[in-house]
Amino acid sequence: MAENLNVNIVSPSGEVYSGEAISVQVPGSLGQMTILPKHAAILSSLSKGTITVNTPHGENTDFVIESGFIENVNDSLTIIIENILEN
Amino acid sequence: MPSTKELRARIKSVSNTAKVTGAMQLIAASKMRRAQQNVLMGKKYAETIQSLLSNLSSSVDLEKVNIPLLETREVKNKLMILITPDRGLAGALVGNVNRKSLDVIQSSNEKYSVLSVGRKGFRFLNSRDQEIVDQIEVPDKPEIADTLNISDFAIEGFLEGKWDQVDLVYSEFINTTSQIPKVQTVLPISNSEEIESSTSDYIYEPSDYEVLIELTPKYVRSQIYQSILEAFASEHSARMVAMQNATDNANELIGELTLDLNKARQETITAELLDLIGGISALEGK
Repeated sequence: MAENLNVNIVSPSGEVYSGEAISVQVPGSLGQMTILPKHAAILSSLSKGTITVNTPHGENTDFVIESGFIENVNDSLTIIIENILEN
Repeated sequence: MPSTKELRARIKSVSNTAKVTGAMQLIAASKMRRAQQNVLMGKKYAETIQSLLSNLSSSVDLEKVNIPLLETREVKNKLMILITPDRGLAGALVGNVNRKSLDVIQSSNEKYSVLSVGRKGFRFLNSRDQEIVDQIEVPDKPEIADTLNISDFAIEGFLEGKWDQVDLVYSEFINTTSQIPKVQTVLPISNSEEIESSTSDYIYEPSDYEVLIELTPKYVRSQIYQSILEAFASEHSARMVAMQNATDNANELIGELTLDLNKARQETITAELLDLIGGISALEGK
């Protein structure tokens, strides 16, 4: 069993999501992408779209965002967003 | 010695004051808790965005490319964003921040324009003939969206060349009993706090340069938002402490006045007794 991603989604009004995930789909500025465990270190800006966090329990959590940034280093994934349009 | 009637009236008026300050203390305490919470909540975002920024600026060769918000140019005009409370009754807090802003303005060789956030600072500088470009009020429970007009105003003016430096003046929140007036330069973004991070093998999308261009205004916004949160936490903490002191003083005064009242009451009783005894002995002596 591969290790999971450690996901933190942070906004100015606090932590929006914090927990483990099998994979995370984000609307990268160059197109939709999916981050899986052992992904190379990446820092990307995000455009308008939906972030989907797939938890180990088989649940999906969606966040609709306007813009943001994602950083992933050693399976620790941080997404910062200024505001969430919809949860 | 005042009469018992006068003393009773004074005790009543002081205890009414104590009731009012006590209520204000409770209100300030609950607002303070929320405001302090907000500062903590916002910190994570501010720190993350800061670490991304230092990561990026060590990757991008800043000599070769031009990032407008990082550009240091000769300073001719400055903008000060003065963040003060709307209301007083917060101890020395308002005075300290206002005095700091005046110090900064007077000791600067360059001309300052002031953007006032909060009424107290506006009134203070306005009465001292300082040019105030705009006055903006922020709701009590600010979201970052409520502060974007402030940051966008500062950023746009910087890009248009209206000012070459933007300083924030606000009271930094240390803890409930300690708030210190602080001056912080937000534009141009200073690169001094470069942290050595393992940036070697990052993939940047679209490119490090483009991400940095997009990140810089977000960083400025988060800095300004965070200082406004701190200013609010400072304001409510200072007010809570001031009101607590006022309530304590009032209660002490009530104690002293009650003592005086009892003394005065005893004195009248003694005098009456003496009168009675005098009367009886006069009757007996007949």
